[in-house]
Amino acid sequence: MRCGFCQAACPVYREEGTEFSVARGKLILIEAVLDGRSPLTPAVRDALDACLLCKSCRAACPSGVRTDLIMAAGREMAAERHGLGVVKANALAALRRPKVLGVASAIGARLWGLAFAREADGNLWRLRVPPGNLYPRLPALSFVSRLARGELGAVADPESATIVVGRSAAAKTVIFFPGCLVHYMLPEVGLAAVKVLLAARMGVIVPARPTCCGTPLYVNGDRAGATELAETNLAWLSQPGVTLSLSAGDKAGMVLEEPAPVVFACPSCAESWRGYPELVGERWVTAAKEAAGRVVDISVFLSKAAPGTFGEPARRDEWPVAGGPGRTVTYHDPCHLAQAQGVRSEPRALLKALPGVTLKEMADPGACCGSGGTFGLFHVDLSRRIGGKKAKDIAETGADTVATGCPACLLQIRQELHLAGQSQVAVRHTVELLAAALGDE
Amino acid sequence: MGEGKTVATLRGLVPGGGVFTGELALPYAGDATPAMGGRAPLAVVRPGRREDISAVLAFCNAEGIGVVPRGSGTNLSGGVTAAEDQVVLAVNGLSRLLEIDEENLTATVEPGLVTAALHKAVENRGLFYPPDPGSMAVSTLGGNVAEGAGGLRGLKYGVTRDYILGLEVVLADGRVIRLGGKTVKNVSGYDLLRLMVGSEGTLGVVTEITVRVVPAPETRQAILGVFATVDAAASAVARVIAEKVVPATLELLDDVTIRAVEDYSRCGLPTDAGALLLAEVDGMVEAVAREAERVKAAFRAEGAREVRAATDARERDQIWMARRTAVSALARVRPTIMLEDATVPRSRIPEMVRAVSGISRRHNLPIGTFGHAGDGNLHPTILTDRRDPEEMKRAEAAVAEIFGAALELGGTLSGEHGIGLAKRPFMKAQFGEAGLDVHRRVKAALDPRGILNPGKLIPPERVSQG
Ligand SMILES: Cc1cc2nc3c(=O)[nH]c(=O)nc-3n(C[C@H](O)[C@H](O)[C@H](O)COP(=O)(O)OP(=O)(O)OC[C@H]3O[C@@H](n4cnc5c(N)ncnc54)[C@H](O)[C@@H]3O)c2cc1C
Ligand code: SF4
Ligand code: SF4
Repeated sequence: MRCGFCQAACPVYREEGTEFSVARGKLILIEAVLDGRSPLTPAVRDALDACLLCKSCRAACPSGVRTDLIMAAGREMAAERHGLGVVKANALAALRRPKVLGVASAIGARLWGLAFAREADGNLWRLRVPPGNLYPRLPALSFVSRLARGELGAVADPESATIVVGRSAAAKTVIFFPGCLVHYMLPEVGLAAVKVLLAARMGVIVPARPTCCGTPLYVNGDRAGATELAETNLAWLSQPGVTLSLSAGDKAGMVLEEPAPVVFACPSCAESWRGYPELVGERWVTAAKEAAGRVVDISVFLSKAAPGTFGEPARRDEWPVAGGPGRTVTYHDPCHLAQAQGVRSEPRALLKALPGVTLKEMADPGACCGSGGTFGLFHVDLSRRIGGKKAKDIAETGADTVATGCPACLLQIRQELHLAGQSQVAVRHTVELLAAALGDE
Repeated sequence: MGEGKTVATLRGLVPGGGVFTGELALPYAGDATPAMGGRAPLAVVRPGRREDISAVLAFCNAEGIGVVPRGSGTNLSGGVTAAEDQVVLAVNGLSRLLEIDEENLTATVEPGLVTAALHKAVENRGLFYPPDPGSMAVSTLGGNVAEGAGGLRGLKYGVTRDYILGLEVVLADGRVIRLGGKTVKNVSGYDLLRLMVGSEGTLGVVTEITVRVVPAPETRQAILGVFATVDAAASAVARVIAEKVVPATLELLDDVTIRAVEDYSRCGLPTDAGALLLAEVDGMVEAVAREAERVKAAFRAEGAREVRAATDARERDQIWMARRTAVSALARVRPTIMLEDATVPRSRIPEMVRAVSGISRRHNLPIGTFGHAGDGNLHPTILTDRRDPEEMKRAEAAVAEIFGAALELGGTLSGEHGIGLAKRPFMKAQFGEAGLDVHRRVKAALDPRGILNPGKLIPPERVSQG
């Protein structure tokens, strides 16, 4: 069907207004290349590339077209026939080797987030770094290294390549997958997530060497690389000590329970894991399906699995508040959370319940922030125009804080507010505000 | 002039706009009509300024290059399909809302403004622009004017045609004329304004539109009736009208459509029903309450299994949103859908429904039927697969029979989707040779070189003879 309804959903179309910028037109281009009516010219490649992979079109499509899969396939096609751009290829190749961690995955974090090139790999200098960028510094210590140093009482378990936090006091165990951006760029978000999970009386298992979820490779057309990473993650997850949640109810010995939920504070990683069954080799399909069924966004998990823990009015008295944040907060809906997963009310409910927080909606909270993973790197102007609108909508609310559920959005919005001269507005992940309300222990 | 030179000239004519060629023009070859438009047009011109449209048309007219005006490309009749030697004129870059005049109850817009954006803007001022095609979230007002688009609220409020007060139109040779204005009454000269509405881009390019708006109704009430058969639902439509209630909207969905829509929208439609009627009454609070009761009574009298009212605005909006996706949702069922638009006088809806189900049986083809039953405008939609040539033959025969049935019942080929390319072959059956001749003369008078949306709406002489 070519109804064109995706036009109303697509942030790139809203800016550009051209048929080839929206899913309908891109599908026509891909079809034409596949059946040989059109060569894969640089113009076509650029058109296919100018996509935030935000999945808004998929959510809006009444015919149920899997535009997300088709767009990724289109890029795969572009990458195969033309090769990735040299810079992109180098950075992405580094991502494929999770063992060369350190710098390598940090590059992934950058690619996935923003264009900046401080202390890195010379190649990155050649990226089109937008003028006036914030160049966020890579924090000295990553999320996992901070846990490994014992923050929040974490204990390393080298055997299963995990770090375990708060398990002894917990009713249940969950797995928290940080993803590259949280791990490398925003460790404070990861720590906040663990903190709120602990407050919900959960034990938390974290991978000791987090492997990229694969999305940066996949969306840039390197399907094989993404498959490798997906299988690495599944292999880690499949270890008995990782995957099974243990109930501490029975003093004599822990009782095995249903597999633990895999909790995400990065909706793009979550979406990536949900797509594993379509990505991995046959051997892994069952494990992938099983894992996909356990994927849950942290805001949904907190609302469902720990109702009443987080400021639900009935149990406000138990909310260990120290003063409360006392803020006017506005909430940005990340595309991969709101459009792709339909999660809109949960984070808002959590925020609204926080003592001292007033939630003030911005004009179009579901409008894309323009980050779109590596999109911002290669489509600077467009990303800037989309993001500028977001900054304006935020500023107009007069809120002192923007909350959002996605690390990529967080970095992009921070950057856009900075460029708009609105750096005084704090940008936080939802879990950071929840953790702040817990006070400093 | 060679192709390269033409494109270069076009580029010079739209400073600040866009000119796209080759592969990038390919997505502009077709529209929402299935299986139309396979090759890239010569060029796509997307002006950023109104005055550039005159320059582009003057140039193309002088060179004899066909120009296809285009809004959002959501029409369902092949109306913007463009051939390899034609230029697509994408006017969707001109999309400003110029004015809302609360004293005169008008709004003035550029043609590329999206219909739903106008709705939102006037509703913020307590006003109401009733025409609401199912595609309103994406369609442009220019496209609405050029197609004479209808919508769900046509029953009580009429269609786009009834709201157009003024137009600015660029003629084929680039000259600009203004028709109508802000006045409610206007009989000066021929009614060229109405000639332009529904002219499908074949007589001129609309560059400014002044519409009439009305005060927003005080309240609205949506009512849903569940029926065992389409027949029963069709009789209920006739009964509502006979009861002298005029709901703003009275929509019918058959079982195939209900299931497809529910599959997408998950808004709780009863998937085991044979047919649904969705009605909305609006107006003053007291009147709405009374009318709602009469609609419910009419539904019950025709054997509705269940009749209920939407509990709140959210549920109501959900229902209408779901209904608006019916066309696309049906595409989930089979790969190719052939959507028809034949319209009959509203009293003949039950007969039309029976005729369609007969055609479906005879040709052994699933047909999903839904549409604006209250105003006689149904959309029987043949669900088929264009990869099966034998089935496509049957589908084409079925289409011809649907048109035949509509004309026999005193109806018309198209209620709102237009003729475009798709329904051209049936024009003669509706107008006869004399009627077609008048069409051709009007076209020749306004577009002597035949550059505007060539081949649309009027069948070529050769075909019409046969
Ligand atoms: C899912 C779906 C539901 C729909 N529901 C309805 C419905 O309920 N009622 C209804 O009536 N239609 C409906 N339509 C059809 C379609 O949306 C309408 O015909 C709409 O008016 C087309 O607007 P557009 O901007 O997409 O125009 P386009 O498709 O781009 O163009 C339509 C025609 O207008 C001409 N045109 C466009 N702009 C101009 C201009 N500025 N000057 C001169 N000519 C111009 C074009 O040449 C063409 O002939 C539906 C379509 C879809 C896909
Ligand atoms: S994924 Fe987002 S940016 Fe890409 S085509 Fe779909 S709506 Fe547009
Ligand atoms: S992708 Fe979906 S929404 Fe977009 S044109 Fe196709 S059917 Fe319509």
